Amino acid sequence: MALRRSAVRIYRALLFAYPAEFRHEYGSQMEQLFEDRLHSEPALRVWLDTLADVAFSAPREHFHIVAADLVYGARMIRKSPAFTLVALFAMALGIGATTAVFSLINAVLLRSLPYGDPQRLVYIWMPNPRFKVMPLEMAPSSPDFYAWQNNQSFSDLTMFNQELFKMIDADRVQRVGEASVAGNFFHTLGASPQLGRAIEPADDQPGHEHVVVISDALWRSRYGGAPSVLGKTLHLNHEIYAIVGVMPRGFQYPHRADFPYSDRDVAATDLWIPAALTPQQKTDWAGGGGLVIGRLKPGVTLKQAQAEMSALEARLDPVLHPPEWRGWVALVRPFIDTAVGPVRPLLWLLLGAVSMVLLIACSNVANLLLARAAGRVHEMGIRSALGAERVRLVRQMLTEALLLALGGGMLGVLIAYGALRLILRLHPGDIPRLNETSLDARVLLFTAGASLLTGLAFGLLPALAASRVNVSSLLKQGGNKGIAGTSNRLRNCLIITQVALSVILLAGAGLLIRSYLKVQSVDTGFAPSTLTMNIILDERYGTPQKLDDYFRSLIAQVNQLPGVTSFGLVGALPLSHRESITTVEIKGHTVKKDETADARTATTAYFESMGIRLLEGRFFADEAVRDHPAEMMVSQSFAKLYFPREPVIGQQFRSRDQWHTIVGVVADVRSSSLEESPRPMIYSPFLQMPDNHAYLTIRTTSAPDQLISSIAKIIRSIDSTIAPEHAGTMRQFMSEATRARRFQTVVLSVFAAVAVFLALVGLYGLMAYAVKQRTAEIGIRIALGASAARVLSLVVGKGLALVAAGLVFGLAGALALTRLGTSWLYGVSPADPLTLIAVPVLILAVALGACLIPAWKATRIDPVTALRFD
Amino acid sequence: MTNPNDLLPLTPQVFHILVALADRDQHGYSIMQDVAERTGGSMRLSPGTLYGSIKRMLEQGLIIELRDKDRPDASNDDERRRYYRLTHFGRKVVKAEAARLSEMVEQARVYGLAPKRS
Repeated sequence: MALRRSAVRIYRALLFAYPAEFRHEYGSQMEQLFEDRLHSEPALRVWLDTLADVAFSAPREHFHIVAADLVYGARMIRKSPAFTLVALFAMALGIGATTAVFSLINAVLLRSLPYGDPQRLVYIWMPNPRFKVMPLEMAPSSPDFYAWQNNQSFSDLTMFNQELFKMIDADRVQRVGEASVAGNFFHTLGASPQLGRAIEPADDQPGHEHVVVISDALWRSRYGGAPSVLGKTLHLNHEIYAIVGVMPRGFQYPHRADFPYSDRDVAATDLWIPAALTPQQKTDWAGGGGLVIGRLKPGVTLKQAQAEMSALEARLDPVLHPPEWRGWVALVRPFIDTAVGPVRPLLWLLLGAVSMVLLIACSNVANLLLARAAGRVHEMGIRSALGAERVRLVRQMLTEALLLALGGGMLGVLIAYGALRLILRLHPGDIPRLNETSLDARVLLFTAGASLLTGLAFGLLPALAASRVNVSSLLKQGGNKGIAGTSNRLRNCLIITQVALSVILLAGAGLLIRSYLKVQSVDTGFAPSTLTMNIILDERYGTPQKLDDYFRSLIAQVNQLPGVTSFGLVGALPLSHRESITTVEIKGHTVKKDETADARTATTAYFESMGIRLLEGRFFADEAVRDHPAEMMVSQSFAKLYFPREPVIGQQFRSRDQWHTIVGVVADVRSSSLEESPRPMIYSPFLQMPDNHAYLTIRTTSAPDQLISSIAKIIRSIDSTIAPEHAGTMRQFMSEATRARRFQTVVLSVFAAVAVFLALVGLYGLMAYAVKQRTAEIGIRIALGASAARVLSLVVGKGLALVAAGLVFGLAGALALTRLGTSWLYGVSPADPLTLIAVPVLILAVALGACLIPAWKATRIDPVTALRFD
Repeated sequence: MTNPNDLLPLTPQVFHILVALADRDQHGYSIMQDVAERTGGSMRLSPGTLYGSIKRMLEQGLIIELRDKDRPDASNDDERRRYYRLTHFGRKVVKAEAARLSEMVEQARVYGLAPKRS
């Protein structure tokens, strides 16, 4: 008997698997039936039957309710198309923007890299803290790298260099990203080819290096993805290489944004060739080096590896390096973080901004639902009077909200798709693997989850408010008011929140716009209209004489072109991301250690063609005697830094083991970035130390396009395998340099605009609803003689009071948040008065517009109809 | 009024419940026993299935729940139990289903797939 009673109790607990409504209706009957069966059948059989029954029929009952709610919800949504459209639109904007940002984060941070266990990979840099301007991310030199092989922390250490190779076909020359790699490069990265083999240690020997592994992209574009590609040959930099392998899709390491100071011209790598250093190259300290990647042994932490490398390099430094260049240290840095670290703040900024947009969209829809719920009090009251339980009503309302959210989510995916196309168009610059951004399964799953969650978020509040129906008071009042009091307060709060969030976003966008304009109007020191292009001469031009002959012939021919006012050459153009830093020693100065300057080689015509002003002295002579490079020019900041009081002209300094005399001072140019103040710079005559990589600068009076093709013709006529690249004006370099900032500014501005728009829609909806709710009251006021102006100010006053409250919270929030983001700003304080005044004025102005329409409608209320209305 | 044919085919459970109610009003447990008896024990309705079906049959108007005054006489009444009665519409539906089933059996019989009529 006791056993049976506890069995019934267990069954009663199982009944909680059923919907409450069903349980309340049939629970006792079911219990009775279960008990009856226990009387007449073996207990085990009854239990087996019953458990199977609950498992099958409880979900079915839930499903029936959901299906009924969906049908009912769809009908309700169809009945109010205006409401549905606005709600769907708000949700689609919110979820679309969120999805777009998430897919960026997915591509950059979440998606796995095509390397084996990338968490164990590190870069090892070799900076020298003695030299202040030197970046931390200096590539180690070869002797250090080979000496490091003897270590306890790494299972592999590999080295590589990135370059642009010329891929030569009968009809055209193409420049392709290449990496010259050590034999264990692929093994270290844990990357295997999809076809053929990778570069192996046996290839990394002089004489065996004429093999190449190609990327999937090159394989498909050049060979149509045919497996017969193995063994085919490529004509690269005037040598023949045999293709031995094809890497899988997605492996194009190194990309432009994988590490700082990467070669800007190499977007991604398509060719991997063994470096095959000679024994002499391996021990030559000044001869070069490359980027070093290590794979940590299992169990070894970054800290342990750093400790070992620091100790190792401290021992090697005095042995491997000449006395004046000592002080190098080894720096171990995580591999993934090096690529992703710099963009992480941007992604956080976007995520923060888009969360605010989503929040506004949610509260907007919640507001709409609340307004509608107020209109449905009657329906809810009747259903409740007919015996519907509160849980049931909440469930019904939530189903409708989820239906809206899912619809909004689907539209949002479309919006995200468009937004992503736009983002790729804007091309924000240094975001790694950005062009791999897509709406993949993970993103779609995220969108579905976000839609459900937002549906719950904006559906729950109105559902609870609406279902809290007091039937008796409802019946007494005969219908229409019921929940107005509490829900109005809630609606006001939601509007205030929306305005506050929009103010924060708008203030952020305003500060970024101001910064962008400041950067745009910065004095670069050069003329943006100067025409430029660059050429790279290969190893056939290995001697200074050959280079000299080439450039002299080029200068002579280009200067004869009609319309060319001046034609200069420079080793590294401003904003081209080519840097060269040297140490200087000023004659007569008590020895100041570690003084440095940016070094450039240029012809005198370079200054004229770029519009760089001569401030003092004269230009150096291009034609100085070879092996006697005595004359140099310096920039204004060099003069100010090293000769603050004494005259500059005639002073001498030593760099690269030679003494130079300063003959002239030119104006500063912004060289490494538009936002960084100019560094001290020295110029030496280009033709005395010609570089195989030169930028051409042209000042012209004729049409640029025509001139570019004329110059290209001249270049081809001198050597048909050399082609000019990156032809354009300095304005394009400036545009490139502001790309990342432009991207941030545009995206945040768009988010702010969407936020303000949604908040206005919300405000308009609230005011229109309030006017409708107060029709009778306003009617009486008009009947009692209130003027139109009085009615207008009544409605507008209420709206603006809400906006003002939102402004106060928003400005406080903006001040708190923008302070955290000073690193995004340029030349603008986070409490920029102009922005902090313009934002509230703008918001008030548009809010006034949103309030005026319902207010004007209120003045048109006819007292007679209004009094009949309720 | 809904066309009885719109509700066809019925699930075996619903069909058997309707048949069980054809000659007298019954409560849940007796329906269950009735069905088990008629099917030789092969169909044993569990509480969830039985009341889930009853709920939808009520919604579709196939059966009604009896009010107190209509309940069978006090001698064999159990106060806690709810009794159900087949409606006119419910009878039409179960007839239509029976006709549909026998039509199917008739077609099978033509090909010797079902036992001949005695």
